[in-house]
Amino acid sequence: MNIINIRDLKVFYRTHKGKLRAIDGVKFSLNKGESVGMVGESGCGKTTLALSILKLLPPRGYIEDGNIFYKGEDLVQKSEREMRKIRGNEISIVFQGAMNSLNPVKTIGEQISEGLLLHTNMSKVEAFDKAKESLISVGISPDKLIEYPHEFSGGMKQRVMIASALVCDPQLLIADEPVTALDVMVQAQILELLNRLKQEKKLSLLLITHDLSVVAETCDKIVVVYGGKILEYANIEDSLLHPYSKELFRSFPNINGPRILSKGILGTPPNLINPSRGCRFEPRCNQSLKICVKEEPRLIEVCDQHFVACHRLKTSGA
Amino acid sequence: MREYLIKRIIIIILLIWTIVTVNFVLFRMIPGDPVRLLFFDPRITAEAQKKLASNFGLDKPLYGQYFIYLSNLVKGDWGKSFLYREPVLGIVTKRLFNTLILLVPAVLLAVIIGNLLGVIAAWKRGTKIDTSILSFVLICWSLPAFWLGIVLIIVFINIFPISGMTSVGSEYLSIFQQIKDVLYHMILPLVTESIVLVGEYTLIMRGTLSEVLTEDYITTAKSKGFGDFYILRNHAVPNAMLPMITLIAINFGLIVGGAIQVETVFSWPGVGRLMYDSIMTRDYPVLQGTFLVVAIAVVLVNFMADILYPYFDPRVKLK
Amino acid sequence: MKFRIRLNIKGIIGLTIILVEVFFACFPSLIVFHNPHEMNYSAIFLGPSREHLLGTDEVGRDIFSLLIFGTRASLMVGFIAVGISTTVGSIVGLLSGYYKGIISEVLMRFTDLFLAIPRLPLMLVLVALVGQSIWNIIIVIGLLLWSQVARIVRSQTLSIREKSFIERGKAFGYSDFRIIIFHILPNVLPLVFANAILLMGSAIYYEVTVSFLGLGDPTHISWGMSLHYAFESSAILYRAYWYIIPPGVAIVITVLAFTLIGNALDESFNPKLRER
Repeated sequence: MNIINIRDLKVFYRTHKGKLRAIDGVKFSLNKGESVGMVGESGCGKTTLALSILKLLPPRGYIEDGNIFYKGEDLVQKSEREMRKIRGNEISIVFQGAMNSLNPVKTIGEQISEGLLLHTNMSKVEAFDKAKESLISVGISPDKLIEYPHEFSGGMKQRVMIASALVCDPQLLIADEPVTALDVMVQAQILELLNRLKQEKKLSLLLITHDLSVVAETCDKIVVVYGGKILEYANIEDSLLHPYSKELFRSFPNINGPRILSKGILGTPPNLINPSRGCRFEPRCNQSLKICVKEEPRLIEVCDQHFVACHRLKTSGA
Repeated sequence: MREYLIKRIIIIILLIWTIVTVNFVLFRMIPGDPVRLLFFDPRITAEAQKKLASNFGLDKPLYGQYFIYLSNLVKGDWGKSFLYREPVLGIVTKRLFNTLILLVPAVLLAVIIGNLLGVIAAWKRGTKIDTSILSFVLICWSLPAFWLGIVLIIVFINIFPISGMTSVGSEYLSIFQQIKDVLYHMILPLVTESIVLVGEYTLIMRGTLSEVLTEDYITTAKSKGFGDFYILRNHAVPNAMLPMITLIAINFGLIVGGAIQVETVFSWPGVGRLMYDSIMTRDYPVLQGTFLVVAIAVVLVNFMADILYPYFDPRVKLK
Repeated sequence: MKFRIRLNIKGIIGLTIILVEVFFACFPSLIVFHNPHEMNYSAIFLGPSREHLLGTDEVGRDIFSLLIFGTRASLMVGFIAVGISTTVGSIVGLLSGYYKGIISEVLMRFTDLFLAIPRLPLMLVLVALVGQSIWNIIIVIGLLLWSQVARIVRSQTLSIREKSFIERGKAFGYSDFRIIIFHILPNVLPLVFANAILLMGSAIYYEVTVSFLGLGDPTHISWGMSLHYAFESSAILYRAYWYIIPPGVAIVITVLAFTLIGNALDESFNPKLRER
């Protein structure tokens, strides 16, 4: 049973130069209890997708078309008032910039418990107790509840953000680059924490990152996005087939592999205001065919639960 | 905390000392022998003048006069008014009370309305509501306080009292009726002062709040499911209020400037009107005394804002 | 760096108002047909009529003529006082921003001191002591407004001085003077210009207030003096609105016009402001 089912979603931004097609026909679903990692370069539409699910797009952005089914109900059709009941209660999000995501003039306790006061009938005392529990579960001493964010390190702030996101026991957690701004040791701790909580709370997780190793450590499935489109969707054990996914995989150094300097992927991300007719990755692809310029490849199932959008795979029949 | 306090106190003492010195120099270094203006009221006899001269050490060199001036200030001997024949300090303190009665509610009203308008404008940024508030506020901001006062007098001349603080013979009324009488006299000057201040506060609030609303923690609050109003009240405004405290203090000179004009126009017996009267009658000792009081008051208010700020902002830890 | 001046609609409105006023100030005799100094004791406190468009004052002078001639004083105060304060403020700001250490510290403390003393009372005391003439008022206003300019120029200089092209200049062995004049100043100038326009509104406001409070130049026609005479001659009790409203409206319009131009310039020089 899927908890999130996105159908042909299109999200655009109004800009001076015209419509920017940040998400252009994305289709994927997330099963209950499953965790999916979404990877891609910055500016490919990952964060936009996260914000669209909660309908928290900035004023210039809007959902042009498509559906986002959450437990069978279309979020796109829901009013702001209905969405507020879902945000923080059923679907929570943890943002990238932990530095600034906490209000500097409110205590940690106030900020964790305020969600409970909104979504449940708990009294202030009960909510504070629950907040305490939540803080313990992310590994922070409960007497920090009355402290202010500026006394916390980056890693601790991110733990607080996770505690506050999970305090209402949501079904789905969206984590948008949860460890990007942190140093490596802390990254590992936070990922471990996410893994543990996922298990304990039977949480579904949508993890957004540009770091493939993060996905490998945390997720069951991987979605590769590029230029507002999904290029590949696979189980974490499968080897990735799309040329872009391969490049992405290669551009991350492997500790156990030979010592080579990462090459990165040549070229720049595509123009999303006037996109080409063909495959979005074609200009940077080293295996492109004639058809790639003219026609956009569709997402096809190459083997069980493994989808790829590439002409080369279709023709070679892999 | 202690070190910070001591540092601030030293700065404040230096500032006050500088103001006192400037005050001394100003009234002595001016062409036309202001010493004569300051001490020799033409209305007193030559003998009394001589006595005054030795009292103030005018027969001594300038630095001697300076120390006598300082010690007299500390002792509370601020000179004698030409006009009222009373010690300056007494007159000024009496008037200061009247000024505060008018200014405190006027500033509070302006802060409340200004913040409210600023919050609405920032919240509805770019809409027609924002534009109308901005236009209104810009006009308020460019109104000379004295002129606004006069216009209000012409309009309300038959409705509200336009001059002074009390009605003739009000001292025979009961205390309750006396208070009512003062409040009644206060309406027009209070409204005038508030209107000229409201513009500044609205613009500041709108600016700070617009910036706060782009912060990440606002998005966080939205993602928790809170509505605009809750976020505004519990997350955005508390953060935007912090700079307000400092800015109101920094712009305290503005409040004083407005008070001088408003008190003049409405004959409100405060320090501002005293200053105007002393200019018109060339009562230099009083002018000197009022300037000193006003300048020191402004410095002290800034000092208080500096001291109080850390209590509102948890980020500022005093060591 | 090149700066293009692009005024928005509000800025253009403001500029038009000021240009019209400049015309009034230069050629007042083309607009009015009464000598503003001409008194007529048989025609005092007359209401608006065909003969006197805005009526007459307590000594029978034509108020419309006073209004038009008064433009001159206000603009003169605005331009000259702001010229003084901008020059002084820029020099102090550039020096204290460019040099670190004792010079910077002393200059900044001095600026802070000027910012700490309430302006209007200090102006009143100074004008009362040096004597009421239009030139004294201009100089006093000019010398009291510079601290604001110094603060802005200093903070801008501080950030520019860290830029690489300044380092490069130093590496070439340019003198401090040359770096300040040819490299920092051009970058600070747009901001100083926008701020100067905004200051003109303040300068005019202060002149009017000082004049109203009885310290204006009695030999010059100005809006502030008109309002002072109106107040002292109990025009309020005569309800001579024609005497009181026009100078006030003129002041508000002028201050507003300078503010609109200043804000528009700020926006056109500061791309960050435009986006928001």
